[in-house]
Amino acid sequence: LTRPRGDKLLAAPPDLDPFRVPVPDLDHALSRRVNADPESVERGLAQLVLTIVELLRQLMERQALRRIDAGTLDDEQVERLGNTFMALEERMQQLLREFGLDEEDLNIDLGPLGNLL
Amino acid sequence: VIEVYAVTDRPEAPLPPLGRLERVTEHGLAGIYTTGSAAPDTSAEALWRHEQVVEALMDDRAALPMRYGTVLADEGQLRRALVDRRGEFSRLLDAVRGHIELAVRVLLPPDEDRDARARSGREYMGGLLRRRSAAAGTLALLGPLEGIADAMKVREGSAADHHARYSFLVDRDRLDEFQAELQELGARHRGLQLTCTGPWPPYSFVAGGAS
Repeated sequence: LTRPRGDKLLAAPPDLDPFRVPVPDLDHALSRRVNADPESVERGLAQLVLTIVELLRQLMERQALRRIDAGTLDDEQVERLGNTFMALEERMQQLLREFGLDEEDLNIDLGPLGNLL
Repeated sequence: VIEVYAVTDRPEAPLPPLGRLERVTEHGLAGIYTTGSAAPDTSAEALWRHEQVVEALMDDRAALPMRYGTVLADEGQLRRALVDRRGEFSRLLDAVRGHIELAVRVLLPPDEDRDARARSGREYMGGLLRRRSAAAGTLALLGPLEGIADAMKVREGSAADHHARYSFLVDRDRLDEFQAELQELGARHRGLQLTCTGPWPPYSFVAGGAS
């Protein structure tokens, strides 16, 4: 199992550039729990509330896709649902900006249960 | 506080000579730890040191790897966890014994519409359907790898980076077979761009049981 770090890459295309992604620093990774510090309780509470809203939004989107698959929605209903999700997504982005949060902050670490989203 | 590296079988096996490792043993299990600080060092070097210890443990015993930063109040708490959860830990050890984790990352086909604002509700829902379909298509391509692995998990990543991530739990003895299949996949699907890293301790296959 033990290999030098450089030998951990078992397969890769010649050009690795498309795989480059910004790596969150470890300080950030270790802080992905709800911040209950009294000094920043407002932000911590916003993080918690927005996480629940985001979870519900994703569940509703999945349910809507299942209903489209099943053919139980007519064109007007699809349009209305799509507009609702679009507006909700925009509003979420606004609130994240207002509270200085990003999408990763909503993926709360639930410890033994893994990540929420 | 103590920083925990892993829960292992073979509690009597010598500890690797890496740092000041200690252990508590109960019911045929060992909890391997070092006395640490409540605020772990967050450098990449520290993370690699943690990794090195877990991998060294896996050389001669089955291990449930703990994520870097797993701290407990003291060795008494670790001992209680070994006692209270011994059945669960033993089952998980049976599942990962002799296995490694391989991480596969696939570059998803570009979705030009993804970042463009949808102009109607139908367009928005169409985008969701396309993205779901692309992810399902990628997963289907990886079917042969899933056939070699004993378990597979889809790992969630950031929605913005156009990558799909998968973890495979593979018998150590089938690593070469897995790598050969990766080559085959590349040859069969010229447009498929993927990376595979490992072998890693089976971090993705103990969550929910050993965290």
